[in-house]
Amino acid sequence: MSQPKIYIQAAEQVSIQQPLSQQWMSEPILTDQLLATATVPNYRDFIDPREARRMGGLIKRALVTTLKVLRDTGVEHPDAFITGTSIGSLDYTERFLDALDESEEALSPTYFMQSPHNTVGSALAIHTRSHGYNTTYSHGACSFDWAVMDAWIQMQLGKIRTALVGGYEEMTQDYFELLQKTGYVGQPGMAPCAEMSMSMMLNTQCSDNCLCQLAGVAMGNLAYRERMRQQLAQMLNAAHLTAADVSAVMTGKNGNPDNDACYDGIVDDLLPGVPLLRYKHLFGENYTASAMGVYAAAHCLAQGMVPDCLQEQPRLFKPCAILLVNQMDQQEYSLMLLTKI
Amino acid sequence: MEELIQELKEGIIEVLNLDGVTPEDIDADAPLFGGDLGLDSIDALELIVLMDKKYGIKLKDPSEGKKVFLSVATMAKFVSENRTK
Repeated sequence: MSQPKIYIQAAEQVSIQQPLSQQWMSEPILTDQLLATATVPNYRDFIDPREARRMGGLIKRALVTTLKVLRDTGVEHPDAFITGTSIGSLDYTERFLDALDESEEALSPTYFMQSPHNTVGSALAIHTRSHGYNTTYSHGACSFDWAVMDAWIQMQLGKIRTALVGGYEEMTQDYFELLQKTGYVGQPGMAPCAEMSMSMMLNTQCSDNCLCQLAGVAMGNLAYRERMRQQLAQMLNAAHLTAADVSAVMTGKNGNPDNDACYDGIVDDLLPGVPLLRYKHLFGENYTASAMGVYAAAHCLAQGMVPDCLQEQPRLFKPCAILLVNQMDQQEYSLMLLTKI
Repeated sequence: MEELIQELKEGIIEVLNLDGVTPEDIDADAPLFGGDLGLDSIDALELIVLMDKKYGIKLKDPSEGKKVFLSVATMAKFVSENRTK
């Protein structure tokens, strides 16, 4: 039995850019803020205020992007909800811990029950009354990528046909300041540290509204070049493509010289000379930012163009296949291949 | 008592995050639970926390809570008789 093809049927975002919109492709919003909050849509268009009143910002943003994708695709109950979030509902977690620190005996049940990481995926399933597979990956900078890998494997095994896969992250001032001290974010010239929510529908059925094909996913623990070359070769071979068919590489460059040099080294080794794209200066940096790279690449393939704002050296071309590389400190990494339909 | 009722209404709206509800929307004698506000058992826990933090009242007996949280007016009466701060 042949393995099913997997398509990205829809993908929506709430981030620094105009929410639930692809306006960023023509009118990108650029900010010089070190910490940037998300621009949120009117939640009332999607969620009853009585239901939303206990939800933190992360859950509301995740729910909005998810509901938009469900509406656009007509998939009412996906077979799976698979969530990637590295730090989960950080705001409520901090409020709860602050109360403990102040020796409060009576703690708010809302902050307590909403603070675990898997509350996001649970809230999506409860709201949509979906009773299928529901899992959350909290795995640092590859949280979203592991969520995609889970969906990929289950679809290849024929266990599911549709999956709502999302990457969701929020940021607080306190946590930002801690990360800033590590040099991960918040340095001059770097992409802003930002909140984001991205939901996408993976489907084994191709339909007119599909954005692109998810042609391959590979993960690794240490970015050994030989292993990465093998994985890319297998991925291209399975997609009946060659290295020459890859139109561009989407990297997670964020303005940190050490981080960016890692990407240059990997791309020079895997696909030298291929045009480079980047997205973190538009959507911000956070542990689940790789979801925005997938989102941006999928919409570029759907529209048959790559806006200048994504390109390191702008030129006009129609993308056929985009390789996404995500890594952190040359340790955890992922490769994803998206192709046009 | 009117001042305390107003304070409780504002406190309830804040801790329960009743978006779009004003103190004027809450009838002091109307049932807090099972009525228009749509409150549930988690809200009851939040109100217990409110009573503790703001008025120093620890409610430990669930049957006592049922009587206290009948309405804003019953809450106000209980607070005025038992507050420690």
